[in-house]
Amino acid sequence: MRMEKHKRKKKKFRWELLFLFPSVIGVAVFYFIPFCDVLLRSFQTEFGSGFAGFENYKLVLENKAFGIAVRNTAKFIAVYIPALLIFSLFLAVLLDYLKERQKLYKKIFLLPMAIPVASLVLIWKVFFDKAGLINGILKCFGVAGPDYFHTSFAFLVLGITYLWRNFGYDMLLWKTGVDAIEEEMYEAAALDGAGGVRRFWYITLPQLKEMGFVIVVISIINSFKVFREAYLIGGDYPNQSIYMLQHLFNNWFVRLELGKLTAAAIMLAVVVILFVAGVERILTPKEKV
Amino acid sequence: MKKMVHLGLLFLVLVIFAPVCITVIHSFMGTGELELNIGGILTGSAKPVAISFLPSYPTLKNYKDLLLYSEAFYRMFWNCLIQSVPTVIGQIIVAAPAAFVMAKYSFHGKRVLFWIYLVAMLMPFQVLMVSEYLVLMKLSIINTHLAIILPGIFGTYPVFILTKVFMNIPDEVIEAARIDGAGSFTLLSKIVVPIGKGGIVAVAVLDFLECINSIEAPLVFLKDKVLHPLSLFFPEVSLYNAGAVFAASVVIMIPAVLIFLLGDEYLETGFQAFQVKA
Repeated sequence: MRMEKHKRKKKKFRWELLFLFPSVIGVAVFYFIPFCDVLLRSFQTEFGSGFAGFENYKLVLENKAFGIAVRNTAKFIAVYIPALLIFSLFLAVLLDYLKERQKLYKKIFLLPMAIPVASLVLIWKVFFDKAGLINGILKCFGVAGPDYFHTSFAFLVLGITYLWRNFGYDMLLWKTGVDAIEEEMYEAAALDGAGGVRRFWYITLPQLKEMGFVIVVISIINSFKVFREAYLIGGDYPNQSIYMLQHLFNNWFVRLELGKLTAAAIMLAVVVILFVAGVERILTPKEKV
Repeated sequence: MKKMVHLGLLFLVLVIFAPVCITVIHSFMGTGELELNIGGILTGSAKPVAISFLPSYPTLKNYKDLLLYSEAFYRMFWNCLIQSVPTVIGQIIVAAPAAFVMAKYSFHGKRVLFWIYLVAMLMPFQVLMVSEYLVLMKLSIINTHLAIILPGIFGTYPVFILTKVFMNIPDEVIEAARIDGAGSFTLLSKIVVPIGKGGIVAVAVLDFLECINSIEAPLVFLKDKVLHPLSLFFPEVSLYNAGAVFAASVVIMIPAVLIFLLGDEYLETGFQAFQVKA
């Protein structure tokens, strides 16, 4: 009897797996197979199919532009993702404290997400040009502003654009996490005499771990997307401070330097995979696997 | 104290609206006024920008120029729709059943599969660019709308989010429906999708915004400029077309903001899905 039930369950479960089918096929064709192809190519000589060993990897690591692009990309992630996470969490807690007009603020703060990149190009020029609005304001305070697009200040402009576009989204995610924390926990802590800061540190933060993982992942994805703004502002060869890995990859693609491109792609992929594994291990609660 | 907080937030609101408002204002200005205001940055002379908060002589000329005479803009707008609408619809149709299985069934290799999806979602476009180009060439859809639509449909981001959404549907609900004799398909269409509606709309809104912002894929997979979507509309700006470019910026914003305003009620319910209940 038990056996039979077990069998039936098993049969049913197989049929439902068909739901996965279209998605799995698509992911295989457009992501998995290309990935394997990239992996294979990274060990081949540029145009033939000869085995090149780690030659491509060596070429990439010796490449000067690669060094610059890696440094810029890493710096961007190291500076602006923490900045975004902290700022948006701060806002979420503020909003929680306010308790009023939350809906309105949320709506407004999300708006930048909907502004297309192409719409920003000209207006960013108005703001950040050497003779632009920001420098005009700075001038009132007697400060001579820099040329934002053609100096290393471009890095700052790109960071501001990233924060501007994403803080509302991240804040909303944090806020959802904060909302889910039960009021009793705070009350109990307050009875024990815990102040606001301690409550935040010992109750709010630990409860946000799971959400934190999601937010970190989304913020990384979005940080790769600032390439769009960088591209629209600076074209194929922008100021060196915002020359990202994506620029380099694009330029290698145009010049058909596929060996280097694929080797660098694999290295980037490995970093992304290691990073996700690390973040997940740190942020996911132990008992839930 | 609360007043201070409101004041701070108000400043943020200003920071958000300023670029949008200035774009809209300038789109109603004639060439003369534009030259007076932002001529310095357009011609390269060092004349500082001056912003006026209302156009002195409001005109619709920029919009007229853009919509009536710029054939390219019109075509790109159309391309944008052709490429984004099928992508979003296809994504939901593919992702919802897959996410349902991921969320509610256990099977061999599920963890591995979910990992592959997660990694695929995180991979920057440039990593797979070369090989994806070759795949699209093999399918002979390179340089067609399908080169954007098909890979887009199988993006794993919607699966990832919808899995989280569907995981929040109580098992008892699904068990009860099954006891009532619901098959898997009925279960999906009559129970899971209606309950997860908020999440699905949220995903659709995010996808749509993503689609109309896509730059990398069209740039690489569409050699033919005739197929380029609006996201690649960034002409060389000069004094003579600045007004039209401002007008274009506004027109590009309209569908995105509209979709966003229609769906933002759902965005929140969608986000709640991320909060896995203890």
